[in-house]
Amino acid sequence: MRSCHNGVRRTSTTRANVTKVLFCPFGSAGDLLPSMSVAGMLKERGIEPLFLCDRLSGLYPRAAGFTTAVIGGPGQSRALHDNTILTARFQGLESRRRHMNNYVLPILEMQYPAIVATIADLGPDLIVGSPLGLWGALAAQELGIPCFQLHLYPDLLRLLERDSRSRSWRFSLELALWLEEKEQLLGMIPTSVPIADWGTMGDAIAVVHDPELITDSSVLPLCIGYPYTDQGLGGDPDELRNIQRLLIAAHGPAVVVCLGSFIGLAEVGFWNQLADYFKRSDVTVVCVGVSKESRNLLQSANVAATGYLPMSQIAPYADSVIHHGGIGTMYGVLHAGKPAVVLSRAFDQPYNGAILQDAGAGQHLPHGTVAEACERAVELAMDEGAKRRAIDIGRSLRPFDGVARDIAQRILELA
Amino acid sequence: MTFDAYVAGLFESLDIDWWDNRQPSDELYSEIGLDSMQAFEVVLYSEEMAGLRFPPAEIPMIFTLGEAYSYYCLAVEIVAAAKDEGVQRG
Repeated sequence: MRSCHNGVRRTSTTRANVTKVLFCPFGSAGDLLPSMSVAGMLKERGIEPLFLCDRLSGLYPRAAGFTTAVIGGPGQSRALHDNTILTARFQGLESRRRHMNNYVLPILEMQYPAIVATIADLGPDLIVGSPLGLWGALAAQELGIPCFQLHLYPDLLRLLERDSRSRSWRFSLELALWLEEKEQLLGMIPTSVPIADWGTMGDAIAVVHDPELITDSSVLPLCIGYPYTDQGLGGDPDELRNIQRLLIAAHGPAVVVCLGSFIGLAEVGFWNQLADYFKRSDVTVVCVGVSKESRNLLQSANVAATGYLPMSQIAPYADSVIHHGGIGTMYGVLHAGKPAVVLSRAFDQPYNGAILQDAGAGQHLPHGTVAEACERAVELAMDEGAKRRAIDIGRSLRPFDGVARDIAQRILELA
Repeated sequence: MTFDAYVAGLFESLDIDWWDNRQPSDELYSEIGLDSMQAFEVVLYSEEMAGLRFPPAEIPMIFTLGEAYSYYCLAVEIVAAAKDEGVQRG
């Protein structure tokens, strides 16, 4: 556990009865699912979980029935179409920089006072921060509320190792400058890499990667496992049954392909190449997370295309999976015990692809073409050794509900 | 906000050319040509314009401009009711 490491001590009060816990996640499904899973556990224990997100991210906790306050101005949904943030340059750090400056910073610049006022109104006993929803840790600091950091990104934690002395290197400069100014106003000792430091700021931290996959000695002690959930997020039940039947009935290899909750919606070219590759093969292919407009164009005798469906309900019926290396999809597939080909695009995906490959659960193709990914996926689907390894790895991971329960317990102990 | 003003703002945010005589019965998908990603934006825009900070958990299914405008009006009512209570909660 890590305490507020910049030397500032807050005057948070210890409360005997915790009634409200506020989650501040930001991003796509994989970023939101751990918070929602833990929130569900807290709810079972009589705690009221609340969410404070931008409007787009807020759709996930809302869909799962959690009370959600929304922040941010117009234009957040343009992230759905913004291909400039999808780059794997510098192991995904370039996409981090663009996302931080173009999407996190505007929320803080325009909304920070309103965010603090909203949190003060909500009156949580504890805030669960996240490495992208930096407003959680900032407001916790300002309001004197205990903060538990639910971290997802070893790639960002590594930045803290990179520059601990010199302040000449500021990752994501524009946001870093905003945070530095805030640190001055709060009378804090300046952090060394503000973007990464504020993602760890608080009274305790847990990293939601499974210890089984992580070898990095600075991150491993913080790893607690990934508390995946995809319940309550929708998906057409009839469509789900049809897809399951299709995969079960496959005569040849069955491959599921998913590029996450939003990347796949805009990747028309990717899906077309994939459908072309598998056309007239004996491989049964299910493309998940395809926009409504593209689905009919992809359908053929052996290729089905669908919108969102819960990975936990379809991966078990596949022989192998092609995915983008998003943390949620990766752990959903790993727990199903299926080998995967990772075509990483941005953010933490290169890191995730690398640890998946190191663990022996599949192949990472950081610069791979669609055809290469398809070829590898079929090889894995027919490789009994690879399939057995994936099953073993899946079994060695911490169970989702156990992880969520542990995190909920740590949160309650902290509060 | 009137229906026309709402539609003008929505079209601008979706980057769709505005032209007159849009009707509440106009279908968002088959007639106006929105895609499934833009469907999210209709919900987000309606809530944003109403200033709804605590949107309802249930995310509405919206198929026509009239339904989109009705959702915006509902969001305005929720905000007004919450203000009356002294706490803006939807």
